Amino acid sequence: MKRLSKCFLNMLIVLYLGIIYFSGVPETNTLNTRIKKQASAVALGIGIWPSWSMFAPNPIRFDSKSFVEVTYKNGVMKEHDVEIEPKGPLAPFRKARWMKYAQDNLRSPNQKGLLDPAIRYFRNKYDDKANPIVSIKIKRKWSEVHPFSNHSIPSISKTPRIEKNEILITKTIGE
Amino acid sequence: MKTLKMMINKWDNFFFEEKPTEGIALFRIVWVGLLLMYYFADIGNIQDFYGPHALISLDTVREQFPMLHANIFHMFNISYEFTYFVVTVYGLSLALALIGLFTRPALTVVLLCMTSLHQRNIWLLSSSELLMRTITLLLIFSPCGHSLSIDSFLGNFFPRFKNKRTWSVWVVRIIQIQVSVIYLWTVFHKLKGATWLEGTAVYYATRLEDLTNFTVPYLMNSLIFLKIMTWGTLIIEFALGFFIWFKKWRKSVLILGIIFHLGIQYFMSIPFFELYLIALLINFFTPEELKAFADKGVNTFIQGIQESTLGTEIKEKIVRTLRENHETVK
Repeated sequence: MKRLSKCFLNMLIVLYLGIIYFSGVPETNTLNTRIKKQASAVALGIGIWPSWSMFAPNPIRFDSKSFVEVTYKNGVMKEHDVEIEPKGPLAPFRKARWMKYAQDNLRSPNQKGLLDPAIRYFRNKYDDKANPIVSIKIKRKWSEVHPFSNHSIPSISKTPRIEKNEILITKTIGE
Repeated sequence: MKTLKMMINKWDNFFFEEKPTEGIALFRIVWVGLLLMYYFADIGNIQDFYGPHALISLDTVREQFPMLHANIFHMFNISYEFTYFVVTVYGLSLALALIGLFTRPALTVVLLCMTSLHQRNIWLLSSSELLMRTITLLLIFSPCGHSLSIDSFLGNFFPRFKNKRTWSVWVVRIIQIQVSVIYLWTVFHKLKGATWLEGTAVYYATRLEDLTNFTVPYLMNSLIFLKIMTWGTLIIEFALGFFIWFKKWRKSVLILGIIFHLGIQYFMSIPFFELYLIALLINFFTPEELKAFADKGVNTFIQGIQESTLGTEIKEKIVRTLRENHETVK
Protein backbone atom coordinates (compact mmCIF):
# COMPACT_ATOMS: atom_id res chain seq x y z
CA MET A 1 0.00 0.00 0.00
CA LYS A 2 1.29 3.45 -0.88
CA ARG A 3 2.58 5.57 1.98
CA LEU A 4 0.21 8.42 1.16
CA SER A 5 -2.91 6.27 1.02
CA LYS A 6 -1.92 4.57 4.26
CA CYS A 7 -1.49 7.96 5.90
CA PHE A 8 -4.94 8.99 4.63
CA LEU A 9 -6.50 5.75 5.85
CA ASN A 10 -4.91 6.16 9.27
CA MET A 11 -6.42 9.63 9.50
CA LEU A 12 -9.81 8.26 8.46
CA ILE A 13 -9.61 5.47 11.07
CA VAL A 14 -8.66 7.90 13.84
CA LEU A 15 -11.41 10.30 12.76
CA TYR A 16 -14.06 7.58 12.68
CA LEU A 17 -13.05 6.12 16.04
CA GLY A 18 -12.90 9.65 17.46
CA ILE A 19 -16.44 10.36 16.26
CA ILE A 20 -17.91 7.17 17.73
CA TYR A 21 -16.04 7.67 20.99
CA PHE A 22 -16.71 11.36 21.56
CA SER A 23 -20.30 11.41 20.29
CA GLY A 24 -21.16 8.62 22.73
CA VAL A 25 -19.05 9.45 25.76
CA PRO A 26 -20.70 11.10 28.82
CA GLU A 27 -19.85 14.76 29.39
CA THR A 28 -17.56 14.15 32.33
CA ASN A 29 -14.94 16.81 31.66
CA THR A 30 -14.37 19.95 29.60
CA LEU A 31 -12.52 18.12 26.83
CA ASN A 32 -15.30 15.56 26.43
CA THR A 33 -17.97 18.26 26.44
CA ARG A 34 -16.16 20.37 23.85
CA ILE A 35 -15.28 17.59 21.44
CA LYS A 36 -18.62 15.85 21.96
CA LYS A 37 -20.43 18.83 20.38
CA GLN A 38 -18.31 18.72 17.22
CA ALA A 39 -18.32 14.92 17.04
CA SER A 40 -22.09 14.78 17.51
CA ALA A 41 -22.62 17.36 14.77
CA VAL A 42 -20.62 15.26 12.30
CA ALA A 43 -22.29 12.02 13.46
CA LEU A 44 -25.75 13.59 13.07
CA GLY A 45 -24.90 15.06 9.68
CA ILE A 46 -23.88 11.75 8.16
CA GLY A 47 -26.44 9.76 10.12
CA ILE A 48 -24.26 7.64 12.40
CA TRP A 49 -25.09 9.06 15.84
CA PRO A 50 -24.69 6.38 18.52
CA SER A 51 -27.87 5.08 20.13
CA TRP A 52 -27.64 1.49 21.18
CA SER A 53 -29.86 1.42 24.24
CA MET A 54 -31.47 -2.01 23.50
CA PHE A 55 -33.90 -1.91 26.47
CA ALA A 56 -31.54 0.14 28.61
CA PRO A 57 -31.79 1.49 31.22
CA ASN A 58 -35.22 -0.16 31.74
CA PRO A 59 -37.44 -2.01 29.26
CA ILE A 60 -40.63 -0.64 30.77
CA ARG A 61 -40.17 2.83 29.32
CA PHE A 62 -41.48 1.47 26.01
CA ASP A 63 -44.81 0.25 27.28
CA SER A 64 -47.23 3.03 26.36
CA LYS A 65 -49.42 3.46 23.34
CA SER A 66 -50.90 6.49 21.61
CA PHE A 67 -54.49 6.76 20.46
CA VAL A 68 -56.43 9.27 18.36
CA GLU A 69 -59.93 10.17 19.52
CA VAL A 70 -62.04 11.72 16.78
CA THR A 71 -65.41 13.41 17.38
CA TYR A 72 -67.70 13.94 14.38
CA LYS A 73 -70.33 16.65 13.86
CA ASN A 74 -73.18 14.23 14.67
CA GLY A 75 -71.62 13.54 18.06
CA VAL A 76 -70.18 10.11 17.22
CA MET A 77 -66.82 9.53 18.85
CA LYS A 78 -64.25 7.01 17.56
CA GLU A 79 -60.92 5.97 18.99
CA HIS A 80 -58.13 4.69 16.72
CA ASP A 81 -54.76 3.25 17.59
CA VAL A 82 -52.07 5.51 16.09
CA GLU A 83 -50.25 2.41 14.89
CA ILE A 84 -51.79 0.86 11.81
CA GLU A 85 -52.26 -2.91 11.61
CA PRO A 86 -50.47 -3.92 8.42
CA LYS A 87 -51.27 -7.25 6.80
CA GLY A 88 -49.16 -9.82 4.96
CA PRO A 89 -45.92 -11.66 5.73
CA LEU A 90 -43.94 -8.46 6.27
CA ALA A 91 -46.55 -6.95 8.63
CA PRO A 92 -44.41 -7.08 11.82
CA PHE A 93 -41.59 -5.30 9.99
CA ARG A 94 -43.92 -2.56 8.69
CA LYS A 95 -45.52 -2.14 12.07
CA ALA A 96 -42.17 -1.63 13.76
CA ARG A 97 -41.86 1.84 12.20
CA TRP A 98 -45.31 2.85 13.49
CA MET A 99 -44.47 1.54 16.93
CA LYS A 100 -41.31 3.60 17.04
CA TYR A 101 -43.21 6.71 16.03
CA ALA A 102 -46.15 6.23 18.40
CA GLN A 103 -44.56 4.59 21.43
CA ASP A 104 -41.23 6.34 21.57
CA ASN A 105 -41.83 9.72 20.02
CA LEU A 106 -45.42 10.92 19.68
CA ARG A 107 -46.15 10.14 23.34
CA SER A 108 -42.93 11.69 24.57
CA PRO A 109 -43.01 15.00 26.47
CA ASN A 110 -39.81 15.94 24.61
CA GLN A 111 -41.42 15.66 21.18
CA LYS A 112 -44.34 18.08 21.47
CA GLY A 113 -43.53 19.44 18.01
CA LEU A 114 -44.92 16.23 16.51
CA LEU A 115 -48.44 16.70 17.88
CA ASP A 116 -49.71 19.36 15.45
CA PRO A 117 -48.49 17.50 12.34
CA ALA A 118 -50.11 14.35 13.75
CA ILE A 119 -53.44 16.18 14.16
CA ARG A 120 -53.23 17.35 10.51
CA TYR A 121 -52.46 13.83 9.30
CA PHE A 122 -55.21 12.10 11.26
CA ARG A 123 -57.75 14.75 10.32
CA ASN A 124 -57.07 13.99 6.63
CA LYS A 125 -57.15 10.29 7.30
CA TYR A 126 -60.40 10.05 9.26
CA ASP A 127 -62.42 13.02 7.94
CA ASP A 128 -65.83 12.40 6.44
CA LYS A 129 -67.20 15.09 4.11
CA ALA A 130 -70.82 14.30 4.98
CA ASN A 131 -70.08 14.32 8.69
CA PRO A 132 -66.94 16.36 9.32
CA ILE A 133 -64.65 16.04 12.30
CA VAL A 134 -65.20 18.69 14.99
CA SER A 135 -62.46 17.73 17.40
CA ILE A 136 -59.41 15.48 17.64
CA LYS A 137 -57.51 14.35 20.70
CA ILE A 138 -54.26 12.43 20.94
CA LYS A 139 -54.01 10.38 24.10
CA ARG A 140 -51.35 8.32 25.79
CA LYS A 141 -52.19 5.14 27.67
CA TRP A 142 -49.91 2.78 29.54
CA SER A 143 -50.31 -0.92 28.97
CA GLU A 144 -50.47 -3.23 31.99
CA VAL A 145 -47.93 -6.02 32.08
CA HIS A 146 -49.79 -9.09 30.89
CA PRO A 147 -48.83 -12.55 32.04
CA PHE A 148 -47.88 -15.34 29.70
CA SER A 149 -50.35 -18.21 29.88
CA ASN A 150 -52.54 -17.87 33.01
CA HIS A 151 -49.73 -17.16 35.40
CA SER A 152 -48.00 -14.01 36.38
CA ILE A 153 -45.43 -13.43 39.05
CA PRO A 154 -47.29 -11.62 41.86
CA SER A 155 -44.30 -9.64 43.07
CA ILE A 156 -43.78 -7.96 39.69
CA SER A 157 -47.18 -7.98 38.05
CA LYS A 158 -47.80 -4.22 38.28
CA THR A 159 -46.46 -2.01 35.50
CA PRO A 160 -44.18 0.73 36.84
CA ARG A 161 -45.20 3.83 34.93
CA ILE A 162 -42.89 6.64 34.02
CA GLU A 163 -45.60 8.96 32.72
CA LYS A 164 -49.33 9.37 33.38
CA ASN A 165 -52.14 8.34 31.09
CA GLU A 166 -53.14 11.68 29.63
CA ILE A 167 -54.50 13.66 26.74
CA LEU A 168 -51.48 15.04 24.92
CA ILE A 169 -53.34 17.50 22.71
CA THR A 170 -56.94 18.47 21.93
CA LYS A 171 -57.75 20.37 18.75
CA THR A 172 -61.17 21.75 17.92
CA ILE A 173 -61.47 21.97 14.16
CA GLY A 174 -62.10 25.49 12.93
CA GLU A 175 -60.05 26.96 15.77
CA MET B 1 10.74 5.05 21.77
CA LYS B 2 10.81 1.26 21.52
CA THR B 3 7.33 1.04 23.01
CA LEU B 4 6.04 3.64 20.57
CA LYS B 5 7.52 1.73 17.64
CA MET B 6 5.99 -1.47 18.94
CA MET B 7 2.60 0.22 19.28
CA ILE B 8 2.81 1.59 15.73
CA ASN B 9 3.67 -1.89 14.47
CA LYS B 10 0.74 -3.40 16.35
CA TRP B 11 -1.63 -0.74 14.98
CA ASP B 12 -0.27 -1.36 11.50
CA ASN B 13 -0.64 -5.09 11.81
CA PHE B 14 -4.14 -4.83 13.28
CA PHE B 15 -5.57 -2.48 10.64
CA PHE B 16 -3.49 -3.18 7.53
CA GLU B 17 -2.82 -6.91 7.56
CA GLU B 18 -3.44 -8.36 4.08
CA LYS B 19 -6.28 -10.91 4.03
CA PRO B 20 -8.43 -12.63 1.37
CA THR B 21 -11.35 -10.58 0.01
CA GLU B 22 -13.89 -13.43 0.16
CA GLY B 23 -14.73 -12.67 3.79
CA ILE B 24 -15.92 -9.12 3.22
CA ALA B 25 -17.64 -10.21 -0.03
CA LEU B 26 -19.60 -12.86 1.84
CA PHE B 27 -20.59 -10.27 4.42
CA ARG B 28 -21.70 -7.92 1.59
CA ILE B 29 -24.09 -10.56 0.26
CA VAL B 30 -25.61 -11.26 3.69
CA TRP B 31 -25.81 -7.59 4.64
CA VAL B 32 -27.32 -6.33 1.38
CA GLY B 33 -29.71 -9.31 1.42
CA LEU B 34 -31.01 -8.10 4.78
CA LEU B 35 -31.21 -4.52 3.52
CA LEU B 36 -33.33 -5.76 0.62
CA MET B 37 -35.68 -7.53 3.02
CA TYR B 38 -36.03 -4.29 4.97
CA TYR B 39 -36.59 -2.40 1.71
CA PHE B 40 -39.52 -4.62 0.73
CA ALA B 41 -41.00 -4.31 4.21
CA ASP B 42 -40.76 -0.52 4.07
CA ILE B 43 -42.27 -0.12 0.58
CA GLY B 44 -45.79 -0.32 2.02
CA ASN B 45 -45.05 2.72 4.20
CA ILE B 46 -44.07 5.18 1.46
CA GLN B 47 -47.26 7.25 1.43
CA ASP B 48 -47.55 7.42 5.22
CA PHE B 49 -43.93 8.23 5.96
CA TYR B 50 -42.17 9.81 3.00
CA GLY B 51 -44.63 11.32 0.50
CA PRO B 52 -45.91 14.90 0.32
CA HIS B 53 -48.89 14.05 2.57
CA ALA B 54 -46.87 11.98 5.04
CA LEU B 55 -47.29 11.93 8.78
CA ILE B 56 -44.48 14.46 9.13
CA SER B 57 -44.08 17.18 6.54
CA LEU B 58 -40.65 18.17 5.27
CA ASP B 59 -41.18 21.57 6.90
CA THR B 60 -41.63 19.89 10.28
CA VAL B 61 -38.40 17.95 9.70
CA ARG B 62 -36.57 21.21 8.96
CA GLU B 63 -38.08 22.85 12.03
CA GLN B 64 -37.53 19.98 14.48
CA PHE B 65 -34.21 18.70 13.10
CA PRO B 66 -32.40 21.90 12.10
CA MET B 67 -28.87 20.50 12.11
CA LEU B 68 -27.08 20.12 8.79
CA HIS B 69 -27.78 16.59 7.61
CA ALA B 70 -27.62 14.48 4.47
CA ASN B 71 -31.07 14.37 2.89
CA ILE B 72 -31.69 14.82 -0.84
CA PHE B 73 -35.36 15.59 -0.17
CA HIS B 74 -34.25 19.05 0.99
CA MET B 75 -32.87 19.79 -2.48
CA PHE B 76 -36.02 19.06 -4.47
CA ASN B 77 -39.70 19.84 -4.24
CA ILE B 78 -41.23 16.88 -2.54
CA SER B 79 -43.75 15.03 -4.68
CA TYR B 80 -44.92 11.46 -5.07
CA GLU B 81 -42.97 11.23 -8.34
CA PHE B 82 -39.72 12.23 -6.66
CA THR B 83 -40.34 10.01 -3.63
CA TYR B 84 -41.02 6.98 -5.83
CA PHE B 85 -37.99 7.86 -7.95
CA VAL B 86 -35.74 7.79 -4.86
CA VAL B 87 -37.30 4.53 -3.69
CA THR B 88 -36.86 2.92 -7.13
CA VAL B 89 -33.22 4.00 -7.44
CA TYR B 90 -32.65 2.72 -3.90
CA GLY B 91 -34.10 -0.70 -4.77
CA LEU B 92 -32.13 -1.02 -8.02
CA SER B 93 -28.90 -0.05 -6.31
CA LEU B 94 -29.51 -2.65 -3.61
CA ALA B 95 -30.03 -5.30 -6.29
CA LEU B 96 -26.78 -4.27 -8.01
CA ALA B 97 -24.86 -4.32 -4.72
CA LEU B 98 -26.24 -7.78 -3.93
CA ILE B 99 -25.04 -9.32 -7.18
CA GLY B 100 -21.89 -7.22 -7.05
CA LEU B 101 -22.22 -5.24 -10.24
CA PHE B 102 -20.72 -1.73 -10.01
CA THR B 103 -20.60 -2.55 -6.32
CA ARG B 104 -18.99 0.57 -4.89
CA PRO B 105 -21.08 3.13 -6.83
CA ALA B 106 -24.18 1.05 -6.08
CA LEU B 107 -23.44 1.05 -2.35
CA THR B 108 -22.82 4.80 -2.44
CA VAL B 109 -26.24 5.37 -4.02
CA VAL B 110 -27.78 2.94 -1.50
CA LEU B 111 -26.32 4.98 1.37
CA LEU B 112 -27.49 8.29 -0.09
CA CYS B 113 -31.07 7.07 -0.66
CA MET B 114 -31.19 5.23 2.66
CA THR B 115 -29.93 8.19 4.67
CA SER B 116 -32.32 10.55 2.87
CA LEU B 117 -35.33 8.32 3.54
CA HIS B 118 -34.28 7.85 7.16
CA GLN B 119 -33.67 11.54 7.76
CA ARG B 120 -36.92 12.39 5.97
CA ASN B 121 -38.63 11.12 9.11
CA ILE B 122 -36.21 10.55 11.96
CA TRP B 123 -39.00 9.77 14.44
CA LEU B 124 -39.36 6.29 12.98
CA LEU B 125 -35.78 5.31 13.47
CA SER B 126 -34.41 2.76 15.86
CA SER B 127 -31.05 1.12 16.33
CA SER B 128 -31.70 -1.08 13.27
CA GLU B 129 -31.70 1.89 10.91
CA LEU B 130 -28.65 3.34 12.62
CA LEU B 131 -26.82 0.06 12.05
CA MET B 132 -27.92 0.05 8.40
CA ARG B 133 -26.38 3.46 7.75
CA THR B 134 -23.22 2.92 9.76
CA ILE B 135 -22.30 -0.43 8.26
CA THR B 136 -23.24 0.51 4.69
CA LEU B 137 -21.03 3.59 4.97
CA LEU B 138 -18.10 1.40 6.02
CA LEU B 139 -18.76 -1.20 3.32
CA ILE B 140 -18.32 1.45 0.62
CA PHE B 141 -14.66 1.74 1.61
CA SER B 142 -14.04 -1.99 1.36
CA PRO B 143 -13.32 -4.07 -1.76
CA CYS B 144 -16.46 -6.12 -1.02
CA GLY B 145 -17.22 -6.31 -4.75
CA HIS B 146 -13.83 -7.80 -5.61
CA SER B 147 -14.93 -11.33 -4.93
CA LEU B 148 -18.15 -13.38 -5.22
CA SER B 149 -19.50 -10.75 -7.60
CA ILE B 150 -20.17 -9.97 -11.22
CA ASP B 151 -17.52 -7.24 -10.96
CA SER B 152 -14.88 -9.86 -10.15
CA PHE B 153 -16.06 -12.03 -13.04
CA LEU B 154 -15.92 -9.09 -15.45
CA GLY B 155 -12.48 -8.28 -14.08
CA ASN B 156 -11.18 -11.26 -16.11
CA PHE B 157 -12.09 -9.47 -19.33
CA PHE B 158 -12.11 -5.74 -18.60
CA PRO B 159 -9.41 -3.94 -16.62
CA ARG B 160 -12.01 -1.42 -15.41
CA PHE B 161 -13.44 -4.11 -13.12
CA LYS B 162 -11.08 -5.28 -10.42
CA ASN B 163 -10.76 -8.54 -8.59
CA LYS B 164 -8.19 -8.10 -5.88
CA ARG B 165 -7.13 -11.29 -4.14
CA THR B 166 -6.24 -9.71 -0.83
CA TRP B 167 -6.77 -6.40 0.94
CA SER B 168 -5.77 -4.68 4.16
CA VAL B 169 -8.63 -5.38 6.52
CA TRP B 170 -9.09 -1.98 8.13
CA VAL B 171 -12.81 -1.77 7.32
CA VAL B 172 -13.47 -5.13 8.98
CA ARG B 173 -11.55 -3.92 12.02
CA ILE B 174 -13.70 -0.80 12.27
CA ILE B 175 -16.86 -2.91 11.90
CA GLN B 176 -15.57 -5.18 14.68
CA ILE B 177 -14.83 -2.19 16.92
CA GLN B 178 -18.27 -0.75 16.13
CA VAL B 179 -19.94 -4.04 17.10
CA SER B 180 -17.97 -4.14 20.35
CA VAL B 181 -18.98 -0.56 21.11
CA ILE B 182 -22.66 -1.48 20.61
CA TYR B 183 -22.52 -4.28 23.17
CA LEU B 184 -20.41 -2.40 25.71
CA TRP B 185 -22.59 0.72 25.32
CA THR B 186 -25.78 -1.22 26.04
CA VAL B 187 -24.26 -3.00 29.06
CA PHE B 188 -23.06 0.35 30.43
CA HIS B 189 -26.54 1.87 30.10
CA LYS B 190 -28.35 -1.25 31.32
CA LEU B 191 -26.32 -1.19 34.52
CA LYS B 192 -27.98 2.16 35.30
CA GLY B 193 -31.44 0.57 35.28
CA ALA B 194 -32.97 -0.94 38.40
CA THR B 195 -34.74 -3.77 36.56
CA TRP B 196 -31.49 -5.07 35.04
CA LEU B 197 -29.80 -5.06 38.42
CA GLU B 198 -32.65 -6.71 40.33
CA GLY B 199 -33.11 -9.30 37.57
CA THR B 200 -36.63 -8.48 36.35
CA ALA B 201 -35.80 -6.72 33.06
CA VAL B 202 -36.40 -9.81 30.90
CA TYR B 203 -39.78 -10.30 32.60
CA TYR B 204 -40.89 -6.86 31.42
CA ALA B 205 -39.13 -6.93 28.06
CA THR B 206 -40.74 -10.23 27.05
CA ARG B 207 -44.19 -9.01 28.13
CA LEU B 208 -44.31 -5.69 26.30
CA GLU B 209 -47.64 -5.83 24.52
CA ASP B 210 -46.46 -5.23 20.96
CA LEU B 211 -43.14 -6.97 21.18
CA THR B 212 -44.12 -10.43 22.34
CA ASN B 213 -43.46 -13.27 19.96
CA PHE B 214 -43.40 -16.85 21.27
CA THR B 215 -43.06 -18.03 24.82
CA VAL B 216 -42.07 -21.05 26.86
CA PRO B 217 -44.95 -21.07 29.38
CA TYR B 218 -43.41 -22.68 32.44
CA LEU B 219 -39.94 -21.13 32.14
CA MET B 220 -41.12 -17.61 31.38
CA ASN B 221 -43.19 -17.68 34.56
CA SER B 222 -40.29 -18.73 36.73
CA LEU B 223 -38.66 -15.85 38.57
CA ILE B 224 -35.39 -17.76 38.91
CA PHE B 225 -35.24 -18.42 35.16
CA LEU B 226 -36.08 -14.78 34.40
CA LYS B 227 -33.31 -13.60 36.70
CA ILE B 228 -30.83 -15.97 35.05
CA MET B 229 -31.92 -14.63 31.64
CA THR B 230 -31.60 -11.00 32.76
CA TRP B 231 -28.16 -11.34 34.26
CA GLY B 232 -27.15 -13.76 31.51
CA THR B 233 -28.00 -11.06 28.97
CA LEU B 234 -25.62 -8.66 30.68
CA ILE B 235 -22.87 -11.29 30.80
CA ILE B 236 -23.30 -12.37 27.17
CA GLU B 237 -23.43 -8.77 25.92
CA PHE B 238 -20.30 -7.93 27.86
CA ALA B 239 -18.59 -11.04 26.45
CA LEU B 240 -19.61 -10.01 22.92
CA GLY B 241 -18.07 -6.61 23.46
CA PHE B 242 -14.92 -7.68 25.28
CA PHE B 243 -14.04 -11.40 25.32
CA ILE B 244 -14.71 -11.74 21.60
CA TRP B 245 -11.31 -10.10 21.02
CA PHE B 246 -9.45 -12.98 22.64
CA LYS B 247 -8.57 -15.83 20.30
CA LYS B 248 -9.13 -18.38 23.03
CA TRP B 249 -12.78 -17.40 23.57
CA ARG B 250 -13.70 -15.99 20.16
CA LYS B 251 -15.54 -18.98 18.70
CA SER B 252 -17.38 -19.84 21.92
CA VAL B 253 -18.48 -16.22 22.36
CA LEU B 254 -19.58 -16.07 18.71
CA ILE B 255 -21.70 -19.21 19.00
CA LEU B 256 -23.14 -17.97 22.30
CA GLY B 257 -23.91 -14.59 20.65
CA ILE B 258 -25.71 -16.17 17.71
CA ILE B 259 -27.81 -18.39 20.03
CA PHE B 260 -28.51 -15.34 22.21
CA HIS B 261 -29.83 -13.28 19.29
CA LEU B 262 -31.87 -16.18 17.93
CA GLY B 263 -33.32 -16.56 21.44
CA ILE B 264 -34.33 -12.89 21.54
CA GLN B 265 -35.90 -13.27 18.10
CA TYR B 266 -37.88 -16.27 19.38
CA PHE B 267 -39.24 -14.47 22.43
CA MET B 268 -39.59 -10.97 21.02
CA SER B 269 -40.83 -9.51 17.79
CA ILE B 270 -37.98 -7.10 17.04
CA PRO B 271 -37.72 -6.89 13.27
CA PHE B 272 -34.26 -6.95 11.71
CA PHE B 273 -32.11 -5.83 14.63
CA GLU B 274 -31.23 -9.33 15.84
CA LEU B 275 -30.65 -10.46 12.24
CA TYR B 276 -28.37 -7.48 11.62
CA LEU B 277 -26.33 -8.26 14.72
CA ILE B 278 -26.01 -11.93 13.78
CA ALA B 279 -24.83 -10.81 10.32
CA LEU B 280 -22.32 -8.44 11.90
CA LEU B 281 -20.88 -11.23 14.02
CA ILE B 282 -19.78 -12.87 10.73
CA ASN B 283 -16.98 -10.31 10.69
CA PHE B 284 -15.41 -11.90 13.75
CA PHE B 285 -14.67 -15.09 11.84
CA THR B 286 -11.22 -14.74 10.28
CA PRO B 287 -11.10 -13.93 6.54
CA GLU B 288 -9.41 -17.33 6.06
CA GLU B 289 -12.33 -19.11 7.74
CA LEU B 290 -14.80 -17.17 5.60
CA LYS B 291 -12.75 -17.84 2.48
CA ALA B 292 -12.89 -21.58 3.15
CA PHE B 293 -16.66 -21.26 3.55
CA ALA B 294 -16.95 -19.26 0.28
CA ASP B 295 -14.75 -21.80 -1.56
CA LYS B 296 -17.04 -24.56 -0.38
CA GLY B 297 -20.06 -22.60 -1.67
CA VAL B 298 -18.47 -21.99 -5.08
CA ASN B 299 -17.49 -25.67 -5.40
CA THR B 300 -21.01 -26.80 -4.51
CA PHE B 301 -22.37 -24.39 -7.15
CA ILE B 302 -19.97 -25.79 -9.76
CA GLN B 303 -20.93 -29.34 -8.79
CA GLY B 304 -24.62 -28.39 -9.11
CA ILE B 305 -24.03 -27.14 -12.65
CA GLN B 306 -22.10 -30.29 -13.56
CA GLU B 307 -24.98 -32.45 -12.36
CA SER B 308 -27.64 -30.30 -14.05
CA THR B 309 -29.50 -31.22 -17.25
CA LEU B 310 -27.85 -28.43 -19.30
CA GLY B 311 -26.10 -29.42 -22.55
CA THR B 312 -22.54 -30.77 -22.08
CA GLU B 313 -20.94 -27.97 -24.06
CA ILE B 314 -22.73 -25.20 -22.16
CA LYS B 315 -21.99 -26.90 -18.83
CA GLU B 316 -18.30 -27.17 -19.63
CA LYS B 317 -18.15 -23.55 -20.72
CA ILE B 318 -19.86 -22.28 -17.53
CA VAL B 319 -17.78 -24.48 -15.22
CA ARG B 320 -14.52 -23.49 -16.97
CA THR B 321 -15.35 -19.77 -16.71
CA LEU B 322 -16.36 -20.10 -13.06
CA ARG B 323 -13.23 -22.10 -12.20
CA GLU B 324 -10.98 -19.66 -14.04
CA ASN B 325 -12.62 -16.71 -12.29
CA HIS B 326 -12.41 -18.37 -8.89
CA GLU B 327 -8.79 -19.40 -9.44
CA THR B 328 -7.93 -15.85 -10.48
CA VAL B 329 -9.57 -14.45 -7.38
CA LYS B 330 -7.78 -17.02 -5.24
